[in-house]
Amino acid sequence: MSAAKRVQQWATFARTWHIFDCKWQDPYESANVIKKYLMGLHKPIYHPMNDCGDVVVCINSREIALRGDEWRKRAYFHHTGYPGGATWTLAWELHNKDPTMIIKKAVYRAMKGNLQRRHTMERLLIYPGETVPEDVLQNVTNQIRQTRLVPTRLDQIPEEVSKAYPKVMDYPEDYILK
Amino acid sequence: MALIRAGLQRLANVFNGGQAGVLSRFVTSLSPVESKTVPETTKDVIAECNNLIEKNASRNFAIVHLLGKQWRVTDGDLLVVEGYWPPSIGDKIRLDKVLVAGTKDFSLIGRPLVQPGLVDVTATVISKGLSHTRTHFKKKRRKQFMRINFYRSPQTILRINSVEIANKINEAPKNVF
Amino acid sequence: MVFLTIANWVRSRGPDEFWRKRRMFRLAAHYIGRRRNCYSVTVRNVHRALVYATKARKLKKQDMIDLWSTRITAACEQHNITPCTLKQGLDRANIMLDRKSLSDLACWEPRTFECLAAVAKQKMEYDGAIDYTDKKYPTGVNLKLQDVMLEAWLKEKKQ
Repeated sequence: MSAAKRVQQWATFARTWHIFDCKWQDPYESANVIKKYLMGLHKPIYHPMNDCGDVVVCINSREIALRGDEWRKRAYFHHTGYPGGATWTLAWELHNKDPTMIIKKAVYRAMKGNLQRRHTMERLLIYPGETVPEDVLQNVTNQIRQTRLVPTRLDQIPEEVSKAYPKVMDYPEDYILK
Repeated sequence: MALIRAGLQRLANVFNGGQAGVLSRFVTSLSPVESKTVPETTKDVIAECNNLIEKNASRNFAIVHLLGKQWRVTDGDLLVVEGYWPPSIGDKIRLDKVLVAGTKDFSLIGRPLVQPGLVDVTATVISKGLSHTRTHFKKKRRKQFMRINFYRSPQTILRINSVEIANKINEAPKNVF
Repeated sequence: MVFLTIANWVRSRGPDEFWRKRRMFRLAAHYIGRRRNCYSVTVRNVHRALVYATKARKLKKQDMIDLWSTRITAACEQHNITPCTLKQGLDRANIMLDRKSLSDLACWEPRTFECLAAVAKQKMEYDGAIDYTDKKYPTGVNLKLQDVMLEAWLKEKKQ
C-alpha cells in the first residue's frame, strides 16, 4: 500500500469528536441521536464489524429535561444478587446521586446488547456541567444538533431588558401579587 | 405590533450574544441546516465532459444490470454470476444495460439506461462451473423428521475487460447494432 | 475398492457404522473437546450446525439488505434528504438503481451519490411532491441542472 493510500485509510477511519449539549434535552430522545454517532451509523462506510464509531462528549448533563412527571415516576432497578437485594431508585434520586447516570443509561439502553456495547460506551464522555477538560475539548470538531429548543427562563433575562419590554397592560395599583 | 416584534428581536440578540460558554466556539443550537450552493459555473459542462472523455484521464466505473442484479464494475473486475446463463467459456460479451457510468470528474446517469453505444462495457467469460456444495438440511425435534439434500448451482465467472466511454455526450449514436 | 492400509480394508467389510460416524466426525473436525470426539455429542452439534447453515442462507440476504439500508440512510442524512424521498424522487425520474448499487455508490462514489440526491430533490420539486411545511424538506446541494441539460427530461412525466 502506497503512503498516500495508507493516509487515506487512516483518514477514513479516524475518529471524529462530537459535542452534544444536553441542556433541556430529553435524554431518551437524544440517546437515539448520540447512539448513531457512537456506533458510526452516520457514515456510509458503516459495517457492524468495522470500527468506525466516533467519540461523543456530552455536556450539561445536569440540566436534562424529562417528560411530564417522569422525574417522580421513572424508577431505575438494581439487584445486588442477594435475597432482598432489589432496589428501585427514582429518577430524581438517581439524578441527585450522579447527574451523568440518566443519560448514560439511556444511551446504553438505546444500543443493542452485544459484545460491542461496552466498548462503544467507553467512547461516550459525559460531564455534568460546562467544565470539560482541555485535552478533551481540543479534540472536538463537530457539534451535534440538539433535538429540542432550549427555552430561556425569566430569571435569566437581564432586569433592564425585561423592564424595557413593551407591556400589554399594567397591574392595577391595588393588585396583590401572590 | 411592530414595537413588540422589535422588542423580541432585541431579546433574541441579547441571548445570542450573551451566551458565552463552552459552546461559543460552535454554532448556536438549532441554527438552520445550511443549504450549500454550488459555485457559479460559467463553463459549458457538456463540452467540458466531452473534453475529459477525449483525454480519457481516469479509470471509469459503471453500474450494469446483469441477470436481474446490478453490479458496480470497473476495469479488471471479476463477476461471479450465479444461475443458469447460456454464454460459454471464451465468449466476449458487451454488457449493454448500463444504469450509471462515471469517472473521477463526472457521472452519467441513465433513466433507466444511458444512451446505447455511449458506454462500452466489455467482458469475457473465463469459467463456467458449479458452486461449492450447499447442504440443505431440515430437522424437527422430537418428530422423527430429517431431510437432507445437496445442491450446487451453476456459476459463471466474468472478467470485465474494459469500461469505456466510447462516444461523446449528446452526439448521435454510432450505429452499433 | 482400493485400500492402502490394512486397517481400512478391515473396516470396509463390516457394517458401515464406522463410515457413517466418520462422515459426522469429518464435519466436526474443527470443533473442540467432546464435541469432536464423542459421536453422540458430535451428531447433535453437527445437525444443529447444518440447520443453522441452511437457515442462514436466507438470513444473510436479509442482513445485507439491512446493511444497505443503513448505509443509504447515513448517506442521505449527509445530503439532508430522507431515504424515502430519495427513493421516490429517483423512481419518478425513472432512475432504477436498487439498494445495493445505491449503497455502493454512497460508500465508494460519494460524488455520484450527491448528484443522485440532487436529482431526486429537483424531481420532487418539479413534481410538487414535497410538502413545504414538512421539516424533512431536502435542502442539500443544489445542482445546476440547466448546465447539464437535465431539466427537459426531468420535467417529462414518467410513462
